[in-house]
Amino acid sequence: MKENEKMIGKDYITCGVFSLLYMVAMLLSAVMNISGYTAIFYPTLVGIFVGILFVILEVKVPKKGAVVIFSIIPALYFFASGLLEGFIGFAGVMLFALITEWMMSRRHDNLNQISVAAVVYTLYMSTLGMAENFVFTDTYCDNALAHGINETIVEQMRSFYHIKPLWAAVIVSTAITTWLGTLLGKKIMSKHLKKAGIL
Amino acid sequence: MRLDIRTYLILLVLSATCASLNTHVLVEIGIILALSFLQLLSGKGVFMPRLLLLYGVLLLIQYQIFPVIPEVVVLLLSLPVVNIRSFFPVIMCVVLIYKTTQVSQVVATFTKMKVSKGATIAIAIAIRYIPSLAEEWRHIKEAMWVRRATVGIHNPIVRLSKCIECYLVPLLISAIKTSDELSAAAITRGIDSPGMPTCRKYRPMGAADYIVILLSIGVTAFCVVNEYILT
Repeated sequence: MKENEKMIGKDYITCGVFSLLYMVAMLLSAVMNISGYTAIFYPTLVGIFVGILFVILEVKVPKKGAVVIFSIIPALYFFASGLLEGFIGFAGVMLFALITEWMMSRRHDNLNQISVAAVVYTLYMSTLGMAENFVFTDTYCDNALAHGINETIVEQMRSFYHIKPLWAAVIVSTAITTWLGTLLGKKIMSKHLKKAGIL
Repeated sequence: MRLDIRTYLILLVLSATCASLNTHVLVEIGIILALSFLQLLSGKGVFMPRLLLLYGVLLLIQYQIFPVIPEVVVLLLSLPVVNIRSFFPVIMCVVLIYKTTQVSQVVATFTKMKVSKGATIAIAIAIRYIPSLAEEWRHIKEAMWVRRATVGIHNPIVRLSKCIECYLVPLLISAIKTSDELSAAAITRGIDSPGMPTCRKYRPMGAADYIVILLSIGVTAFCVVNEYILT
C-alpha cells in the first residue's frame, strides 16, 4: 500500500464524526418503529441517510479502512442492544463493511462504484437485520408480547411477517433508497460542498 | 465515585442483556432504581430526575392508562411506549457513561487495552462530538424556523427533499469543518506520532469496579434464572 493510501489521524477523525452522524440517522429513523407495519421499512429510511453519508465520506477519505471505521459506532450501537440480536447486528455491520472495502479496494475514486458499494453496504440491515422478524417470526412476536406490547398489534405483526415476499420488498426498497441517497449525496457535493470549498 | 470505562461498558452490555431478557416489570423497576442509585453515587449532575420521571410516566401509561382508553389509541402508542420503557436500563447506562467519562480517559484506557488506533479515535471523537452536534442542530433548527425555507412549497416530495437539504447541508458542512478543526488540534498534539503515547489519565480498576461488575453479573444471572427456570 502506498504511503498516501494509508489512513492517518485526520482520516480517523473524519470517519469518527461521520460514524456518529450515521448513528444519529439510525436513531432518527427509529421513528418507523411507531407501528408494526412501518417497522420493517426502517432499513428503507436509514438507506437514504447512509447513501448520502457514504458518498461524502468516500470522497473525503478515499482510503482503505474508511468504511470499517465509519461502521464502528453503529456496530457498537447494535452490540449494546443486547443478546443474539445485538451480536448478529454487530457482526452483520462489520461483515458488510469488509465486503464493501473489498469491493472498493482498487477504485475509491469512481462515484458509480461508490454508489454500488453503498447499496451493498446497506444490505445488512434489510437481510441480517430483518432475519429475526421474517425467519423467527413466532419467537419475535412471542417476545414482543411478553414485553407488554398490545396483543392486537402483535397478532397484526405476526400475520404481516408471515408474508415472506415482503422481505424481498424491504430488500429492494432499501437498495433503491440507498441509491437515491447516493444521488442526493452527489448533488449536495456538487451544489454545496464543492462550491463552499470543503471537498 | 468514579468507575473505569471498562466497568461502564460491561454494565452497558449486561443491562442491554437484562433489558432484552427480562419480561417482569418488578425486576425492571429494581434495575432502574439500582442504576439511579449508581448515578447518584457517581457525582453531581449525573443523576437525572426527569429521566426517572419519564420512566414512571411510561409505566403509568402502560399499566394504568392503556386499559381504560380506546383501543385505537393503544394501537398507536403501545409499540413506542413499550419499546422505550423496556430499553430504559440501556438509556440510563448511556447517560451514566456520557456524564462521567472523559475523552482522554477513554483514549488512555483503550490504548492500554491495545484496541486499534482507528477504533479508539472513532469512539473518542464520537463522545467528544455529541455536545457540538446537539448545539449545531439547535442552531440549524432556529435558523430554519426564522427563514421558513419550505413555505410556499405544496408538493410533499419536493417539500421533504427541500427540508432534508436545508437541515442536512449545514449539518454536513459543520461536521466536516469540525473534523478538520479536531484533526488540526490532534495533529499538533502528536496523534500521528509513531511512538507509544503516555497515558496520564489511565487508572487501573479498583474495588468499586469489581463490586459493580459482580453485582451486575448477579442481576443478569437472576434475570436468566427468572426467565428460563423459575417462570
